[in-house]
Amino acid sequence: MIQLYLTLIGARVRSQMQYRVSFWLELLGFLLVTGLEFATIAILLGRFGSVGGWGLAEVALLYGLTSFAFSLAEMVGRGFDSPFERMMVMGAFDGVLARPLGAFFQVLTADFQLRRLGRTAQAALVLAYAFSQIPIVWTPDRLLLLPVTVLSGFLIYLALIVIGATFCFWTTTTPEVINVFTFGGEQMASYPLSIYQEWLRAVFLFLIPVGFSNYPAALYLLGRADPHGLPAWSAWLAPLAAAVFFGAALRFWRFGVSTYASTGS
Amino acid sequence: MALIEVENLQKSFSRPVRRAGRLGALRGLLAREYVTMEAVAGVSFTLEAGAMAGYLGPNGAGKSTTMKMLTGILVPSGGRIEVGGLVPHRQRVAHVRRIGVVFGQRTQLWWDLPTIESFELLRHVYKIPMARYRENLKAFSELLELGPFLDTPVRQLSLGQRMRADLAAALLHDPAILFLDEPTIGLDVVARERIRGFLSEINRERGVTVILTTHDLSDVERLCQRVVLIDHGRVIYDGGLDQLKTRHGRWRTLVVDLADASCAPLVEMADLVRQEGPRAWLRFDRERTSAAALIAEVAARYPVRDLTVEEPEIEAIVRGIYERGVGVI
Repeated sequence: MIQLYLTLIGARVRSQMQYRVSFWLELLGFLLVTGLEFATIAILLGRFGSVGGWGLAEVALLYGLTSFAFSLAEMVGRGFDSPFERMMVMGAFDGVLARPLGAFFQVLTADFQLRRLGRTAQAALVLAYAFSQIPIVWTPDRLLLLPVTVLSGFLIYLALIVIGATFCFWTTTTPEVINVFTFGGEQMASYPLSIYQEWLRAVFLFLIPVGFSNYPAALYLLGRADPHGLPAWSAWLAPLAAAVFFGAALRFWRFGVSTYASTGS
Repeated sequence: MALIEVENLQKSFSRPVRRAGRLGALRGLLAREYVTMEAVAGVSFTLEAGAMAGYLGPNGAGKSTTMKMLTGILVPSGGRIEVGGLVPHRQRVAHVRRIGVVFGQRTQLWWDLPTIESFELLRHVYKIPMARYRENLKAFSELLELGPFLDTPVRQLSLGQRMRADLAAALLHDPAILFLDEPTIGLDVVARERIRGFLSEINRERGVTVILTTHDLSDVERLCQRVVLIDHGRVIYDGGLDQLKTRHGRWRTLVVDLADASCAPLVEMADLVRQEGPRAWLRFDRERTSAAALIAEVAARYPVRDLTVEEPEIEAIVRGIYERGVGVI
């Protein structure tokens, strides 16, 4: 399955690389546009000094972690965006069901946007800035937490993209719904979770767990306590939250596919 | 046991009712009313392995819906389907491994990739052994003349080329059954003929069972011994094509272009049903009159510039059956 995935994705990337100049321009575009996104935050913080007790370098850590995860999810999961919408509108989803592979796998391999590495690069730069400013003691557990958090965040954002796409089974053409979840979640997670009201904090930790893409991990790395009593070890709950959320997204997707098959067009 | 067994197959859709008036759309959003549409209302037929059958009917008769249930894409609302011992929608993956599907209007190929790369990917998807893949690719390339455009991205192919590529793609994994939904729609005569020739070849030489839907009776005449005709979701005829035509499509039309627009061609063996300037339409009964005899008669009496014989169209035959009632089946 992994080999087939790589084969199918490889073909996508090769076809995108046929337009080499446009590929690099788009990659650069993602770097600059998302760079502006962080610049906005930096300007705001430059004016107000800090948000919820978090200075610019610390917010950069939050932003970098979640942006890194989000960029990977966008690179891998954008098959669920416009390619999937096109399938629904053109009726090509029938063709998906006529192939001996799962629908999820086929939609996942419908696109692979290597150019999103532009955002990944931006996130890496922001993280590098954060690490240069904050004196973090790099113990092995802290080092390990970094990839664990990014991968968890990646799965959480991917799950969000899948959930948003699943709504297309009933509405056919609203990929905008996806953006409410994904971009909304990503924007929200760019600031420390502690500044939000209690119910919002609960939502973003236990219902739509985008909070786990950075906040508990950032606390752990900074050696800082959450003002609302979130324990330090909760940083290690991120993979669990991601797995549960992704599992739920997968079930929701399968439910969508089954209603498609019983209603059809 | 037959390869395809369909018994009392049903599929109904519920559609929201559109309300009239300015506030209709808004009210429709708040509280929807649904109507149930029976797209397929109790279809039964069986098909033996190796057959080539046409599944016909006018627009909206339920053809595509039936095809989608046979291919495992849609779940039936009632009735029973078995294809080669599998229930398509329940054992979808195992089922689709053994079938090939071509939907006339849309391609199954990777839009941005060269045709040959799509084939390569399908080799991986269906896990086709390399030797078998090479053999099939070579055979289909020759039969369908794919060579000139194997390296062209699918999006740049003409409709005819794309259809040929899609047919090859649907057959690379040696399916036992090929499902075709309007395989010749929008194609010119040459492309159409090439595809027909290919289909009868793979049916004859490889024993692939073929079931196709079409609007075009000439596809069916050229290819299918067996015809299942449906309308309003029900089977209205199931049997040989010849019987269908002689029983329900008796009337053919001779279209004559006369050199002299002023005269009306009147002959005993046909009725003049229409005339526009030099062109006249003569309707005749295929059981009583042969086209050859009628042409000879007309040509002997009138200065003729051109002639064509029009076969009854499937739509006309279906209409004919309905006008005379379903009892004639």
